Amino acid sequence: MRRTPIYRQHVAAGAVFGAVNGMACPLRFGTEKMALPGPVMLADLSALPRSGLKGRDALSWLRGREVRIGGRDNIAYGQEDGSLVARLGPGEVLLLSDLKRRGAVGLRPGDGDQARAYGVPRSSGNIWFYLCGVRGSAVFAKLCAIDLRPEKFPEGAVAQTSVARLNGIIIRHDVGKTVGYHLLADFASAAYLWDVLLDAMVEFGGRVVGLDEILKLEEMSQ
Amino acid sequence: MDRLGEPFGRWIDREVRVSFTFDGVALTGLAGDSIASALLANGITTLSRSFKYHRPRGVFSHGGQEANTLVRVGDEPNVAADRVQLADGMVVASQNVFGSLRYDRAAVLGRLGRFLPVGFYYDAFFKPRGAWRVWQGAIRRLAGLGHVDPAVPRRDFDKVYLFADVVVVGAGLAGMSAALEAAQGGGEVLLLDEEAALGGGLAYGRDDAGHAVVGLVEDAVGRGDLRVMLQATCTGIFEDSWLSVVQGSRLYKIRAQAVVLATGAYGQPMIFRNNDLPGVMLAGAVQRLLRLFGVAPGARAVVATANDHGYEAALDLLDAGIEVACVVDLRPVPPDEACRRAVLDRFVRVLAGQSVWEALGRQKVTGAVIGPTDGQGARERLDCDLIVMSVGYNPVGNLLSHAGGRLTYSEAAGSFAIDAVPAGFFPAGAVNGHHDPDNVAADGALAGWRAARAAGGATDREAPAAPGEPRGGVNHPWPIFEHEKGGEFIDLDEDLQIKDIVDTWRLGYQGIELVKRFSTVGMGPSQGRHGAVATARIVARESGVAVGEVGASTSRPPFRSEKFGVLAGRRFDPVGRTPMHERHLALGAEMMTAGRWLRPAYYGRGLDRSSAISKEVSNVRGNVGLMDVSTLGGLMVRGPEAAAFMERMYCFAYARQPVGKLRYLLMTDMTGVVVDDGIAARLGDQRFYLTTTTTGAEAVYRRMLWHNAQWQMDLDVTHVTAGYAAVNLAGPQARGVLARAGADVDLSPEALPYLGVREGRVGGIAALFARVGFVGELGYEIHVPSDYGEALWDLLMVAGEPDGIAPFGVEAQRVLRLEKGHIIVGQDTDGLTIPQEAALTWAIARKKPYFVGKRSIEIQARDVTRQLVGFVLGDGAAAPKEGHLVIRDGDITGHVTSSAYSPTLAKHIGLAYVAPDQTSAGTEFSIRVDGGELVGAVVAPLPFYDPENARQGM
Repeated sequence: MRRTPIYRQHVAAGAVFGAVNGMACPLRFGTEKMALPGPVMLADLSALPRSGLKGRDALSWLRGREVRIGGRDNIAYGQEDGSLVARLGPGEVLLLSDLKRRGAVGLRPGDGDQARAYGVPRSSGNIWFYLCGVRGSAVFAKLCAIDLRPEKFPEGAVAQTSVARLNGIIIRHDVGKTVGYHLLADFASAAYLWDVLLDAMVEFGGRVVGLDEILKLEEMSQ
Repeated sequence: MDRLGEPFGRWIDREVRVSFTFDGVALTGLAGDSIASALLANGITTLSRSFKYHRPRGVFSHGGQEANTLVRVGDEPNVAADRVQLADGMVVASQNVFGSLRYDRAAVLGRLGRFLPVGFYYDAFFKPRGAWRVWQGAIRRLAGLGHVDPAVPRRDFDKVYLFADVVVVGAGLAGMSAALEAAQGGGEVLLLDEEAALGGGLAYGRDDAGHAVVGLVEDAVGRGDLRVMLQATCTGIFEDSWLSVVQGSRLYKIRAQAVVLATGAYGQPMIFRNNDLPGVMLAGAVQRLLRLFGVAPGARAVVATANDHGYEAALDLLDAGIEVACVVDLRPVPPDEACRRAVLDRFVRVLAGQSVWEALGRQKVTGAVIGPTDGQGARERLDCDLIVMSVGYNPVGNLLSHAGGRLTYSEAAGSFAIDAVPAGFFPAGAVNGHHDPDNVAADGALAGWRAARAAGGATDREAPAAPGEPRGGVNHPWPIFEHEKGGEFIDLDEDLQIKDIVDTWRLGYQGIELVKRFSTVGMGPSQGRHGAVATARIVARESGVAVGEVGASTSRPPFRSEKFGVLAGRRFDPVGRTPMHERHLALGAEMMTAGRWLRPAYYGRGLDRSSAISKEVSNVRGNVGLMDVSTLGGLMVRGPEAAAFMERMYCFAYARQPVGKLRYLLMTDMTGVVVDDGIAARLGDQRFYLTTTTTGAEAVYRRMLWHNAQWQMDLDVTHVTAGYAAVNLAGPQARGVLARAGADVDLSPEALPYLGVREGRVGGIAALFARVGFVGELGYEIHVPSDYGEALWDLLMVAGEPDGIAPFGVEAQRVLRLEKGHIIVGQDTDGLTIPQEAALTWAIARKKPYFVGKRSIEIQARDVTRQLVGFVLGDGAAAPKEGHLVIRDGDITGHVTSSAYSPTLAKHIGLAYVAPDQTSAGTEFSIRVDGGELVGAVVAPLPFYDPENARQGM
């Protein structure tokens, strides 16, 4: 089974794992009932499907497959199946599954190569964290020079920027009424970034949560 | 510990006592006290000793503006006692003292002042040659302020980004008015101040008119219309309105659309003999002590003034029950203002056209000598323990200067004044020369309105009324009174007197910047707050020009001293770990850094390093080893013109590289210098997978993007380093291990020969199999998606168990490749190495019309001055280290780049640059090793090991 690069940190933190997309995914932490939403919650969603595509014809290739992509860069466009397609540039997109993995975002190596739309191994190249809660932007303010406050960084906004001196892609995506941000960054620096985020969260009473708790937030808003 | 009754002592809580110690003596203060106010309340007037002469120093500004109040608190040196609030249990100690604060042995230096002229240290301690080494220790002990304790435990400091439309620096009357007005514009407004409370000068001033504004600001904060940060110091302004603001142990990086600078003005001292004694204070300090802390700064005062504010301070003293022996007004005919009349009404002696010429006393003020300002006529001695000064102000223009603004001296105002303001900045209040409260408030409101508009706020709001002209008569033009015995201090931090500035000028340092650098005036903690104007005046007098022509030295960040911890902050040093990292640790790997990565140097933590490495080498040569090479850079080059792009980017030929084959990559820059190497795997007509050196991936990626931004070739370059994990399975048993692990490709030498590459699966994991030979044995690089890296490692370790597989690290690989004569770019090449020097001409496709660096390589090929060769050492010779020099007849002809003992060959081998005529096999040359010994080496043909290349082709 695939492992997130911070699998051992999750084990040490008392994660309860479940198989998600062929990877051991932390569903919740500890044995107690899931707590109410906290001011900051951090989850490792690296088990969820994601992929990327770049090249001169990447956008048109996807549009030909009925993927909805608007005309502006640095916007994540929601799809009918719940997945997100973040337009990173005129010739690059990032595809993220929805939290329940309904979105069909899998691209195989070589897909589109003949059409100048080349696959990017986001699933193995990027870790995928999710930071949410009312103080989420305050946590990012300690790590990142972009103004990510909800009123300045609306739902669907994308920032490709430095997070704790690491290249990162931040996408505002709320779960229910909880403000949240997807964060994708270098797979090899996952442990470093996880530790940095935990450290930055301390003053806000942040805590690590599993996928089930994020899903619960979604359910609570429905 | 007597305190004045209310209304004095606004900031203290008389019910809450705070215990602390000063130089080991237990004392008590009150909650809300500054350290300095608590010390004064306990009768302690001397807080420190001066930098050079060790003169006693006490509260001067009570604004943290000079070195006088620097003390040690716990393990932290240089804490401004007049800025930091007293806390229970504080252990406070004086600094820069030899003996005790009262009896400082180093005070003898004050009597030697005439032998220690300004700049004496520039040449006094350097002759005869070597003298500095003798003097250095003593001088370093005597100089400096405070000591850093290296054993201080780690503390947390961090940095936070903040954003606002309008930032208002300074929460005095002007700043508050500006913030309130700016908030009406609808944007985000941030008001910040160094003090613990709003109000600035209102907090301790006699004028109550502006106090209501504090309530308005608090209401606005309550409504969420604006945000206030207190005890927050703006230490600098940088490009694009980037403000550095320090609050506690946190550095805020604030981006603003517009900035209001309501930074106020510094009260300026009078310059007279012994004006540095404890008991000589600025009027603002006296009023702070009285009104904020309820502390009487003395029992009998002499007030020297040239404006209303001195009379107001005198009235405050009288209200507090403190005797005012005399008010000396420097102006020959003082205006008949209400505050002056009020002082006269209280039967205080007021003298016009007079000044203080000397402060009397040794440890503190015991009296004052007053006399006519023109120096003519009799002088009078008055008993007092407090001399209060109010002779003018100078705008706090530091931050404006950081932003690109300019201040010049105004003869009319008698101080520096703002001359140029950069776009997006709006000075307001006293920094703009306003001292009348109505003008200050109006100026603040107007600045706030302008700032809001500049930040894109509401534009339909009517502009507030402009302030009136600044009221004159606040600044005395020449509050400098030279005494026949000298001792008039201009810069208290640096112990500089009038004579020092004059001597500097007379020595030829006749520009203000030169005066500053030679004399060090303004270079202490006060940064010229109290000395800049007086220095400019003295220099102007000596030069015979107007003060405005002298100017002021440039103000640079930081505005106030910053702790190293704040500057260091929360460091972010990304570390890369391969997916197999935990496996390496479990196997006892000694890790090393390689660029941003952590890699296993060798396995056997705590064991003998050399034998551990030798064991790994031998296992690869005789058996099979497994190495994590996930750190190699990975790039995908795809598209119709991928091969043509490769032809341009790399030296070798790729247009005809067959699909399923590997080819060496050698990259040079436009100067022909070797910058990277790796392997190109052609996976399709339009698809290349490339590796780079571990530390070169980002740079190679950037180069490719940079070039293709110009070439616009039809292809895409994708950086996939982190997307793939990779191992090197090497050794004669490698094929068997890979087969047992479940590789689904035909591994036979015929189907997958040396330099072949295939895509397939191993143990169900999608993988790339590449036949490589870097270490000179049958070897496979196996690349898999990163999230399967650990699974691949486990799979191979289990499969290799029957063959005695063992991991090997970077150090063993270095030996293995050295035995094979392969170079490492960056170790065996440097910033000037061209391919011909490193024996890499075989990797250049000469017939190609172009590749990056081709022309430069051809030009430089005509004059190669060194060449890389292999060498062996004679038996028993001391082993050279990498970097040791090759010496011939006393001249350097090259240097060693690689050097290691080869367990396979049982001798010491290496690579070294030598002169072109030293490259023939068998040529002997000398290497200078540690200690200067010359050891003999002999040029050997490469590779050292398996010259027929039979083993890697198995």
